[in-house]
Amino acid sequence: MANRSGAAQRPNGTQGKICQFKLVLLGESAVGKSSLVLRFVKGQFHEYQESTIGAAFLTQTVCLDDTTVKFEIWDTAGQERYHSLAPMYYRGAQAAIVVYDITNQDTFGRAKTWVKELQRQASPTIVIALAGNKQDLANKRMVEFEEAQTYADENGLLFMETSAKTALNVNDIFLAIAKKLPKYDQNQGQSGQGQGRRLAEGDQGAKTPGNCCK
Amino acid sequence: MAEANTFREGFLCPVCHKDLRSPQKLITHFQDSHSEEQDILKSIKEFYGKAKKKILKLEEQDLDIRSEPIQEKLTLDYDEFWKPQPSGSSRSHIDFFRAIRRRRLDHQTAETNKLIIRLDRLLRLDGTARKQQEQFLVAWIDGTTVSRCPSCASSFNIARRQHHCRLCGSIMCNDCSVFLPFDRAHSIVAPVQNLGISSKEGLKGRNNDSFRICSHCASMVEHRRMIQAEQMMQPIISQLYAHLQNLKSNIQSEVDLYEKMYRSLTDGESTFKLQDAQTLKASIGAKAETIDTISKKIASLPEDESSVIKIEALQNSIRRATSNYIKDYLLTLPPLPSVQELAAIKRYRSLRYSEEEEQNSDKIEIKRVTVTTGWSPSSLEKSVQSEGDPLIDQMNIVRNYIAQAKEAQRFEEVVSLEENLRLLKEAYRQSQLTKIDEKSESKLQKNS
Repeated sequence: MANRSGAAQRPNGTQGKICQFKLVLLGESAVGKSSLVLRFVKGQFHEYQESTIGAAFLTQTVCLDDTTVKFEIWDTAGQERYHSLAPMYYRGAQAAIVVYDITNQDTFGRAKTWVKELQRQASPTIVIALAGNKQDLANKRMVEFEEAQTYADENGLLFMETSAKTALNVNDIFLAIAKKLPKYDQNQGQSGQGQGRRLAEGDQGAKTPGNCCK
Repeated sequence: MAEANTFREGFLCPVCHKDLRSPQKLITHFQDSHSEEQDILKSIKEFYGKAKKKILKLEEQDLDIRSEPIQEKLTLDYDEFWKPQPSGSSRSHIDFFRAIRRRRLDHQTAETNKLIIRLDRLLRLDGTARKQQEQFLVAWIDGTTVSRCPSCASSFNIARRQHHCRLCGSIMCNDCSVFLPFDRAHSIVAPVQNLGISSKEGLKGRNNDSFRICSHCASMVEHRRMIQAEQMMQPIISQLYAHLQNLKSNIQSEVDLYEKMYRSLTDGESTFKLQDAQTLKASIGAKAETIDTISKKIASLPEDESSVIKIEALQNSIRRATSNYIKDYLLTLPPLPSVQELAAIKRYRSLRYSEEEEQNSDKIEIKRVTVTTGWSPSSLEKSVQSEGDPLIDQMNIVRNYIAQAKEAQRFEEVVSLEENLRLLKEAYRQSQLTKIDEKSESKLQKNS
């Protein structure tokens, strides 16, 4: 284990781990990807959020005990025109949030195809979360919670119904991902495959790829 | 006056009204004290004789009445009765008895307590004008109408003066008075303090003094003193055993603490200091020795003549239990590591701990979560867009982001964005290459 040597050098063992993860948001257009991430990163919500062009980039830092988790978030555009860009972002990502709109059954179907694509094309260790957004419009609900939950369970996804408007479960879903990510493997393939990068330690543990998930 | 109205019964002397408890005593008393009134003696004898006869007759009659039907039954149904009978209905009078007894005891206790409170106040009195103060505390019975001593019935005169009980205020003659010495009074009022201090308090000078009290009060107070003495008096074996148990419970908490310290130390924690653990162990050792000596002392106590065997067994089993206790708990205390060993343990622990943490990090429950404000480049400057190819669009966007990140001195973000830009360029080149390939292919097809 390459990271053992790294650990032994630190006598106190626990201080100041900084892990950086690449996270990508996917989903049909106008389901609220940008709103979700804007809520998480800046705590803001815009009623008339402009549609994203290409992929927007945001960063947010989360502290879990003494581990600092830094999210590099790529908020991809939902429009069909930009779908060719998506693989570039999810390929190097350690986490993905697939968003659908609970008031629109079609977006849920599109989310399922995204999940399928991720399972086939993305890193096998990618942490996928399914977010049923616009929970504040639950009275216009078209996708049942149970249905989505069952689907998530079957596919091993994290699942939450969120609302960027009311901030419901927004931080929670990112934190759930942060907890699930393997924070102590610092193997970062030069190709950007799979792993978080520990900035504080440099990249000394980079020699054992594929040692990530247990 | 109070005495005149009360109804008394018993073997009372008709002249002096003294209760003599038995007919013989009454007769001898009468002959001795009131010999001049012999005719009365005769009448008493007669009266007594009559009473005796009456009582005896009644008893005989009772016996007759009872014996007759029983004998009839016995003779009639003898055959049925030779078999063992089931016991008939029975009634327990214990509760009734207890209720009465409790009432009486309560009454007596209350009365005694009253007396003791008075006694306490009397003891606090200063020397001057004592009589007035005593009378202020306890109302003395007016002596003008009392011509004879209520307990011995001798008439008061110049030689036989009236005296008052200091506790209840009743009247009696000198012969019927009881004197309660001050030191004894002190010991009754405050039995606990008095064990050690009595001699010192006695030095106040009033210890030779005493209270004049009536025999009734005397018996009540004395009874209380006896009970107290009984309670205070503990055989030496129980005193020693109480001490032993006290030490044991004391030592047990120390042993628990020591074990906690030992575990912590051998785990390499730095919560406790090795020195403290050593001190604690020494103190436990000293206490163990004390326990051992006490139990030895108990075992070698001189035995009483009565119930020798039981006491001997008790003493020996206390001794055995204690030595077992010492063996089981105190001699098995694990030895502390030396300073060097401790340092080695600590080193090992820090190593192992960090390794474990590496491995088990996923299971660690996360308690503290903070979400800071993130960063994002503003996407407003995307007006320079729509070249048609989303890749080129995106490259422009990312270039813009890089510029913003540099401006905001977000160099980590710059690294990530540049990486992305590199990927985009590569993808673009790939797409151009495939386009060229496609073009050339189509050309080739056209040419052919």
